[in-house]
Amino acid sequence: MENQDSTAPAKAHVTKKSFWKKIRELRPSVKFSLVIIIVLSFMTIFAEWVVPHDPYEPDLLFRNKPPSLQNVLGTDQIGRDTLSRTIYAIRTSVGIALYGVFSATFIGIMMGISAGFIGGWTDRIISSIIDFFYAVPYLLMMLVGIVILGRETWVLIVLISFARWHDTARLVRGQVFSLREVPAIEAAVALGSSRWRVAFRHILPNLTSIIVVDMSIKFPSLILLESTLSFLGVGVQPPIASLGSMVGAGRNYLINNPILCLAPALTMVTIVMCFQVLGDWIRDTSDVRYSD
Amino acid sequence: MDQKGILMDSTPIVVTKNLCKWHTSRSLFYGSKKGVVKAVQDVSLSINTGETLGLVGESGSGKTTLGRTILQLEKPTSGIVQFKGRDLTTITKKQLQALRQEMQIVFQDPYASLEARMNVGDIISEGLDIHKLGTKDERRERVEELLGVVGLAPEYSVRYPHEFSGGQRQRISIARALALNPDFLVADEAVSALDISVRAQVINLLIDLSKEFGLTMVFISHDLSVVQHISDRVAVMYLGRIMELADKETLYNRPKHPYTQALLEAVPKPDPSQREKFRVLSGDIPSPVNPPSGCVFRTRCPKAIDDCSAVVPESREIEPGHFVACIRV
Amino acid sequence: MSSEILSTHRDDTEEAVLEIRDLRVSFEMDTGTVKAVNGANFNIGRGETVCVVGETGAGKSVTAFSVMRLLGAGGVSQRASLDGDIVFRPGDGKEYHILSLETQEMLAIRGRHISMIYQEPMNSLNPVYSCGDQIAEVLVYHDQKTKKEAMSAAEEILDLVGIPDIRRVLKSYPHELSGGMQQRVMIAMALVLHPTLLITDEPTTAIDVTIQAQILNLLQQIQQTSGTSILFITHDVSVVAQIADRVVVMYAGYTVEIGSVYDVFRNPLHPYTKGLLKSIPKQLKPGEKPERLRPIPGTVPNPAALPSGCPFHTRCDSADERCRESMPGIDTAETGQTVMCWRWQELQ
Repeated sequence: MENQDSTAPAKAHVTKKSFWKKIRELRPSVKFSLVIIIVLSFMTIFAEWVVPHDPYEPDLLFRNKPPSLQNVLGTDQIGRDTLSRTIYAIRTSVGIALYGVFSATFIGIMMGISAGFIGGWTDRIISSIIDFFYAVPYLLMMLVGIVILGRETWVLIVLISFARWHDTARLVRGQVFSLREVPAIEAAVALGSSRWRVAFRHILPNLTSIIVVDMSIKFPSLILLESTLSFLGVGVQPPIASLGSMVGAGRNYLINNPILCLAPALTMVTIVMCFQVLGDWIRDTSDVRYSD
Repeated sequence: MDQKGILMDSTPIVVTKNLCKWHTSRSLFYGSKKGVVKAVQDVSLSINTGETLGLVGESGSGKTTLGRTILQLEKPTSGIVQFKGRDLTTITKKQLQALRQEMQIVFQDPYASLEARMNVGDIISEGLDIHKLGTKDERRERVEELLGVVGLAPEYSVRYPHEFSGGQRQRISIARALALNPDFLVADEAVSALDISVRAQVINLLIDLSKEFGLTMVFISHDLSVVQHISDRVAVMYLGRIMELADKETLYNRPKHPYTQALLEAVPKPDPSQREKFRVLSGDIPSPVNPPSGCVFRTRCPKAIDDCSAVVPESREIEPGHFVACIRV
Repeated sequence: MSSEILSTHRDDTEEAVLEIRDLRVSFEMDTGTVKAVNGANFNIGRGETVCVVGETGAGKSVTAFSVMRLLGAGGVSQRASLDGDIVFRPGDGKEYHILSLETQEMLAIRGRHISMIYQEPMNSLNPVYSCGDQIAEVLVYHDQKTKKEAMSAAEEILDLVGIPDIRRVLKSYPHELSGGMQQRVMIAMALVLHPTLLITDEPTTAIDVTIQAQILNLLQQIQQTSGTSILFITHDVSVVAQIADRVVVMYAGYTVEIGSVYDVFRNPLHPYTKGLLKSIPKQLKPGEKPERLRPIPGTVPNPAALPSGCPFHTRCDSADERCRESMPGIDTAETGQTVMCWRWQELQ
């Protein structure tokens, strides 16, 4: 039949490079960050087995001891092992930050899609709320929230879940606006698809790479947010350790036990930097030019 | 009987009455003046079952907007669109979604009209999925059947759009549009983005399919020779209004509207022994934000007189089936 | 008028303005080598309009960019490698081999002796400078004119290209003008120094039909009044029929057929040319019913993976064993047409 187009698809399947080859070709800084993050993840997941001592058990005879064979990083002001506490603190900080990332992303996606897709007054209201969150420093808002609602961990968690949702929302909203005009999306409408179906089956999948990048950028800033609050004393409360609270508590002992501050601080810096590097790398590689 | 050899039903499948579509462009600052683009103005048209209506015009003519507004992909600003007797502007969303099975569209850009993350099989069967038609196996069979109908191998259903050329992608788009067995198809510049040799393939395909499935088609294009080849009747649009509507033979050989005449003279002929200086229209196409008063074509019309600015010419039937909107005819 | 038949047998005493000899251009991409042009051979005479016609991937734009040396050393794309020879004779007796010129020498030629206009005027004009400034810049740079002299030369050239209300256009920014006007401004910029060769890359593709007619008229006028040679790149066969003296048909980077516009349209020799002409809907005479189009089956090959032998054999219904295995050479017919096909004579 003359109408047959019997030629093979124009582009051949590109053979995928093997996974390990791709890993080996990464920049050194990315490799380093990946290693650190894997080690840290391991440590935090298996914290109970990894720590040499109970991070909550004080030993008043051994307060503020310098590093020794027994306590690799020394002890803190009431004799708890610094290394163990640091490891647990990583878990706390990372846990809270992760929770914040997921909930902020979720809220951001919902609001972004609603604003971009429904438009009209919904969009105006949501955009105004987004502008508000940009205008007012979130730290202050959180402090006010803590003052009103109390210094409980649940308060911290609820407030963190609203941190930085506006970044995601604005990003998603912009993408939704541009995607709405794309013929592939219109085709779904033309086929009789309902709005929700278009939003979740067509628009959302096209947002995944942007959202992943956004999440990886959010993570370090949330760690810092939680640490700041805990440092100030309004974040997690003792005896729970977070990196920030340890730095805050260790502030008073900078002269005679600097490790108390340095250990969590350096850990935090390392984690944040590693995630920054990874986030940049994800963004670079996911800048996929859909080759046509 | 028409040239397709099928009995053309004289009941119109689509009727528009005084259809208008205006876009208000968003202003940057609240309260500042907004521009209104009068994309489609007062179009009344009936499309007969089984015919192929060509819609031609240049930029700003509103032909694409008209096609999309008929399908309710854009909501009309005013006026009525009747599909098979039902007023599309007043039915509920659910009813409209159900009706969409009967009216489909093929878009211009082969690269942007297919979802990159879905494979060809899913793309084609999406309509079936939306309207919950057929079991998984039935859908698979239908996809293979449709791929065959558009001239692609059935194995292609697992591939992804980026593996295909422009012409092949348009075939996939056509397969998708046909999956729900529509009666009405809008081809919005469906071949304009394709290479010449591929264009001819897809043109032949559309002609064959419209005959085989008894489709009523609106073929939107700026390419007059393609439109002449494929259409039964042709409507010429300028700045949102229909200037002339006639069957193909009449329009191309005995055009009465000055714009149609100028348009036909401006088309280069593929014959080097027919070289004459083009008799050109002076000036540029006005912006649809501020169309001229009265007859929108008067600013470039060689036959314009003072009265042309006073009143918008009505579309008059100067001979059976031949409508012209011009007071000088 | 333009119905003069120009012979393809060029008088040998009249040397060609441009000679392209076995031009080959390839690009090194991450995914492989893309062979954009694989052996282009054609000439352009003084005052002659040569249309290079082909579909996507034919290599026509790349050929044009090579003539301007916009690819390769000193050019825009560093990934290109160019082979072959391009000879340019601006008419002062000198002869330049473009591919081996120093960057400085090329800069003197580009814009002055060879100029170019592009497909989308909106994207080719600088949005932050007024049209007058952009035209004047050409004069100031190449001719060392003062701003005032340059502006009055700009006025003259805008008049020549048929722009009404010249004062206003000089002061306007590109986005304030319509597509047709922008194209005229670009043509003005290209012609202001009276170049020997004007290259036009799909100048009417993005424009409406009625405006295209205006631009084609303008180009015809330029053909007649100035002695400028034009290298006109397009995929629109009808435009070629109206404006070309000679036609170069390109496919997959090869020049598969060359001839006078009359010969090529009346008696195409290469199967691809024949197929191309059959793919266009004909202008119907009164009462005539449209014939079914006879398109070329298949699609244009991927320039990163060209077929063996003759590049067209995968789509040619006359292809035989020889066509599949080896590349045809270039034959010359009686009329002066050249064709790259094993079987052209049998298929006439």
